[in-house]
Amino acid sequence: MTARNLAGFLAVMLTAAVAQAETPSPKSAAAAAARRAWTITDVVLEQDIDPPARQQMLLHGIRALLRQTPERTAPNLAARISTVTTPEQFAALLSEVWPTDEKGTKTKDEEREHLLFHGLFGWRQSDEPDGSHYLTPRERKNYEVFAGNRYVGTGIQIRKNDKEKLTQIVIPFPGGPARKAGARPGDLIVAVDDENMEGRSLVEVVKRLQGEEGTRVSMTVRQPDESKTRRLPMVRSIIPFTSVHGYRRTGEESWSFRPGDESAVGYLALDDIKSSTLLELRKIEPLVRDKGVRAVVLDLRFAAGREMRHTALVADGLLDGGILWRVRDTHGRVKEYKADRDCLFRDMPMVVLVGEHTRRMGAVLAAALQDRGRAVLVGEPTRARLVATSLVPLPDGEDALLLWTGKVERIGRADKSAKEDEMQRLAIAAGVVMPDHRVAIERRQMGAVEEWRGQQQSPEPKGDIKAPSDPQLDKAIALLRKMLDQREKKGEP
Amino acid sequence: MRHFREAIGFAAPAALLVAVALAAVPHGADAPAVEKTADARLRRPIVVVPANGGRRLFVANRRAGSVSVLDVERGRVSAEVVIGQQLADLADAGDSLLLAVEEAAGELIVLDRRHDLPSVVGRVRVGDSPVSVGVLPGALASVACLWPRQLAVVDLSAADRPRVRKRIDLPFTPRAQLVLPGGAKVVVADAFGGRLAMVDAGRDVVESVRSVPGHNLRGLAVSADGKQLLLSQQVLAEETPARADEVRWGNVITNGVRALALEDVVKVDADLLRHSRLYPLGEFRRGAADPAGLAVEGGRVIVTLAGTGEVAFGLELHGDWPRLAAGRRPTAIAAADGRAFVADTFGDAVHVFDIEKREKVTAISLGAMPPLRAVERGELLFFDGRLSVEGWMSCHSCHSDGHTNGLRSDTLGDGSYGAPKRVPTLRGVGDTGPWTWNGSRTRLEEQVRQSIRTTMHGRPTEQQVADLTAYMRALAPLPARRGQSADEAVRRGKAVFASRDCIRCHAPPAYTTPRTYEVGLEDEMGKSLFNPPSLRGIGHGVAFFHDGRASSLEEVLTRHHHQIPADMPRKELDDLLAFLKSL
Repeated sequence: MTARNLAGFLAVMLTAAVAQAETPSPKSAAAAAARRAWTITDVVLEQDIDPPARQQMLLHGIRALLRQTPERTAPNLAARISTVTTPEQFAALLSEVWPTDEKGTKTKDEEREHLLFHGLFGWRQSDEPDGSHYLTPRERKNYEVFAGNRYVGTGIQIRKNDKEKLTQIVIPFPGGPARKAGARPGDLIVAVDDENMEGRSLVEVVKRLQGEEGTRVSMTVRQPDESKTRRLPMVRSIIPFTSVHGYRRTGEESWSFRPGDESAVGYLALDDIKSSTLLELRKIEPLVRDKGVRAVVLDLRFAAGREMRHTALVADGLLDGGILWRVRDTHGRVKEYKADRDCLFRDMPMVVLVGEHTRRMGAVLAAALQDRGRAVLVGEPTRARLVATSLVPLPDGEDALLLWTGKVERIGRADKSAKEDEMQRLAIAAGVVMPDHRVAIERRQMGAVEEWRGQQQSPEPKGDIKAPSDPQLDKAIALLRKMLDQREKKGEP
Repeated sequence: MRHFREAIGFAAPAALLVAVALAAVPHGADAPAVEKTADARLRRPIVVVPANGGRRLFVANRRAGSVSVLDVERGRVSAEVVIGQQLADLADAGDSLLLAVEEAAGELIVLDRRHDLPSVVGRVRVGDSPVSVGVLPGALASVACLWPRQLAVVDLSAADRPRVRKRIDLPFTPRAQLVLPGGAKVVVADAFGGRLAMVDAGRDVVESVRSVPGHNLRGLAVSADGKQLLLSQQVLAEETPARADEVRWGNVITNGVRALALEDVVKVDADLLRHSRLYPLGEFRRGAADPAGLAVEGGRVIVTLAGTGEVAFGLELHGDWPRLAAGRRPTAIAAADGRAFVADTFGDAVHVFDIEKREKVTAISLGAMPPLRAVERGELLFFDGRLSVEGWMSCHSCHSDGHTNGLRSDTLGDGSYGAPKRVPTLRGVGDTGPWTWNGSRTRLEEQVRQSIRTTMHGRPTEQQVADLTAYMRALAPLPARRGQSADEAVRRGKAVFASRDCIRCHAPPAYTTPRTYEVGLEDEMGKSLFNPPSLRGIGHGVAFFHDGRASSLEEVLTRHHHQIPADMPRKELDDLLAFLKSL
C-alpha cells in the first residue's frame, strides 16, 4: 500500500463514534481548553527544535476554531493575541469565541478542543506534509498501533461503490483474515454477520467490521458482475502490513525481485519504515540472494515512516559498523546513532532511489547510506527536512504530540573529492539529500510508477497493467550492471 | 575402580548404579510416558552423545551427576551411572572412551563405554567450574573453566592417569567450544558476551580473540561444506527501547544463527565479520527465544530453541525455519545417521527426530521426576521464553544463566526509556535490595513482576512471580575473581577501601547499601541518583557504571576516578583493585 493509500484507508478505518455526556458550561469548557492549549504550547516550546512564538500557535488554534464557527467573530484577533502572556488571558479570549448559541455538550466541546489543539500546529502543517501534530488519545493509540504494525481487523482496504450502493473491497491484504477466508479484490460487501449493508455508509460498515483480536465476524460478498454471494467467516487478527516489497507480485506472499531482464540486479521498495521493516529485510535477504541477485536497488521514493528508532534499525541493518548520524535536540544534547557489524546485502552494490516525495525518514536513511559510501543515490533531490520526530505524551492525559525533537546532523562523506565535498556541504546545509546521479522523472511517469506499485499490493494485481517506464530505475540498473561488470573484470566475487 | 568409588564419596553406594526400567514410549509422543519408580529425581540432561550410528545414546545429567545409557530402538534407558555431583559436558573421545566434565568438583572424568554400564577409568582435577570439553587429536582434551577464564589442556595418553598439561589463560569467561576438523585448533566462545577465541591447543597459545555482535553464544558447528562456522546466539539492540512493539518484531532481542567464514575464523588477522551473516529465527508472531544447540547433518542445520521448547530445521540456512515441539527446554543436540537427538533439560527426556522427514520419531524419558519445589519451578520459568510476548526472550536472554550478558538494555526499569542501563548480574541478587538502578523497588517480587510485564511484556501469575523470586534468591553470589587468603595486596586494599570511605555506599557483607547517591554520574534522561551495585564478584565484570561507560574495573578508578582523588598513588590503586577482585 502506498503511503497515500494507507492514509486514506486509515481515515476510514479509524473513524470513531463519541459518546454523549453531561453538559458543562461554555465558559468552563473554554477555560479548560485554554489551560490544555497552554500546556501544549509549553511542551512545544520545551521540546520542539523549531517552535514558533506561543502567540503564533494560539492564533492558529483560534483561527481553526473560528473557521468552523463562522457565526463567531473576533475583531483584532492577532493584535489581541500578541498581548496574551498568561493562560488566564488566553482563557478570557477563548471564551469570547467559544460558541454559546446552542446547548453545549461534552461531545461538542471535545470536538472544539480537538479543533483548537490540532489548529495550534497550523504553522507547521502549512508547509510540511510530515509536520508536527496534536494527537487525541484515539489518534495516539492508532499511531502506536500502526508504528508497531499490530493493527487488528479483517485486513481490507475499502471504498464506496456508488453504483451498487455497497462497500467494495479494493485490496484484501495478503495474510489478513479476509483474504485467508477467500475475499477477492472488487468484492462487494453485501452483508456483515448476515446484516444487510446495502446503502450503509463506509463508516457504518467499518464499525460493524471492527472488533477485538480473536473475535468472529462474517462477510457476505459477491463480485460486481455476479449474483452468487459467498459467505466468508473469519476471526479478527493482527494484520501484518508489510513494508518491504519486491518489484512484481508473483503470488499470495511471493515476489519477483527483478525489475528488468537483468538477472543479477534485484529491486526492493521500502514503502514504510516501521517496527517490522528490519525483520522483513532480514527475511527477504536470503531469498533475494538465493535467486542469484548480486546487486540491489532500494527504492525510497515513497518511503514513509516516522520513528527515528526504526530508521536507525534499518540503517544499522544495511551498514557494516560506524556512525549513522547524530541528532541534536533543542537543549543541545547530541545522540549518536551507530551501526553494529551485522550488515544485510553484504558485498552487494546498492543504488538507492530518492525523489521529491521521499519523506523524512527515507531521506535520513538515504543520507546515511550515501555518507557511508554504502549506496549510490539516483533520482531527484529530496525535499523533506532532516529532523527526528518523537511522540511526546502530554502530562495528565492520554493525548500526545508528535514533535520535531531533534535535528539530524549528517556525518558527511569521507570518500569523495574536495569539489564534491563542497557540493555536499551545500546540500547538507540546505537539508537536502542530493542524488549522486540526477535523473528526472515526468509527473505522468511517476503516476504510472505509483499505480504499478499500488497494484502490486493487491494479492491479485490486474493482469492488464504493464510495468511502467521508469528512467530512474533504468539508470539504477545500468549503474549496478556496470559495477558488477567492473567487479567481474577485477575477479571479485 | 575401587579407588574411584571411594573418591566419589558423596554418592550413596546404592545410587551408584541405577538401572531404571521404563515403559516403551509411544511413537511420536511429545511428553514421554514415565513409569513411576521409587527413584524419582531430577536429572536435567545437558548433552547427548550418540554411539553405534545413533542406536545407543549416552546422556550426561547435570543435576543427577549421572550418565544415562539409552537404547534408542527400544526407546528406553538401559542403564544409568552416577559419576559425580554436577555434570556439565560429555564427549566421545574415541577408543570407546567418554570424557565427562564434573563442574562441582572441577574434574575431567574418563569413562570406558564398552560395557553396558560406562565405568570410570580416570579422573583429574582441571580447575574451578569446568563447563565444556573438546576432544583433540593426539590423546588430548581441552577443558574450558568458566570463572578462572582458562582452557586446560589435558593429556589422556594414559587414560587411567589423565593429567593437565597446560592451562591457557583467556581474556573472557569461556563456555562452548568446538575443535575444528583436522587439527588442534579450538574455537572457544564467551559464556555471556560475544567474544570468540581461536586457541591452538597443540602449541598452547591463544591465537586471536575477536568479537561478534551479540551474546549467549551457545551452539557451535561447522557447515556441511566445511566453509563456515555456525553459531547460535542472540543479539540485544542496546539502544532500542524494550517496548512491546519492538520486542515482537525482533528489534530488541534477535535470536539467530550466525555464519562466519571459517577461513576468517582461522586466520588470525582477518576481519572476522567481513563475510558474516546473521539468520534470524523469529517470525511474525512467533519468537525463537534462546537458540542453543546446533547440529549439521545431511546439509541441514538444526537448532534447538531452548526458550520456546522447539527445534528449528534450516536448509542450508536459506528460507524458512520450520519447527517442531521438543519438550520443555531443548538444549543440546547431536546428530547421527539422519537423526537428531535433543536433550530436553527440564523435561528429563531425549527427543529423537528424523531430519529428512522433519518429524519426531520418539521421546525417551530418563526417569520419573519428583514434584518440583518453588526454586525448581522458578528455574523453569527463568529459562522460559513463553513468559514473554510471543516467545521472543526469557530472563536468561539477558541475565545469561542468572549472570549478565554484560550489555545495556533500554527498559522501564529506571522509569523511562531513553537511557539504556547495564543488565545487572542476578547472582546474589537476593541480598542486594532495593532493586533497579534507582533503587525504586524494595521487594524483589515487585522487580520480577515489573521486568516480566514491561520488558518481556508477559503476564505472570502471582505464583510464577513467587517461584521466580525463590529461584533468584537461591542464585549464589559470584565466586571471587581471586583468592583472599593471605594476600598482602588484598589486605592493604581492604584498608584503602575503608580509609577512602568506599564502605559508606558499598558496605559489607553484600557491598551495597539501600540508599541512592549522587556520584557525579548522569544518564541520558538527566537522572543522577543511583543505588550502588553490589561489589561481590565485581572482578568478573565486563562493563561498569549504569551505562557501562567503563570497560574495566581499573578504568573505574583510573579514568573515572570514581569517588577517589585523581592523584591517588598507583600503589594504593593496585591494592584497592586487588581487594575488589577478591570480593
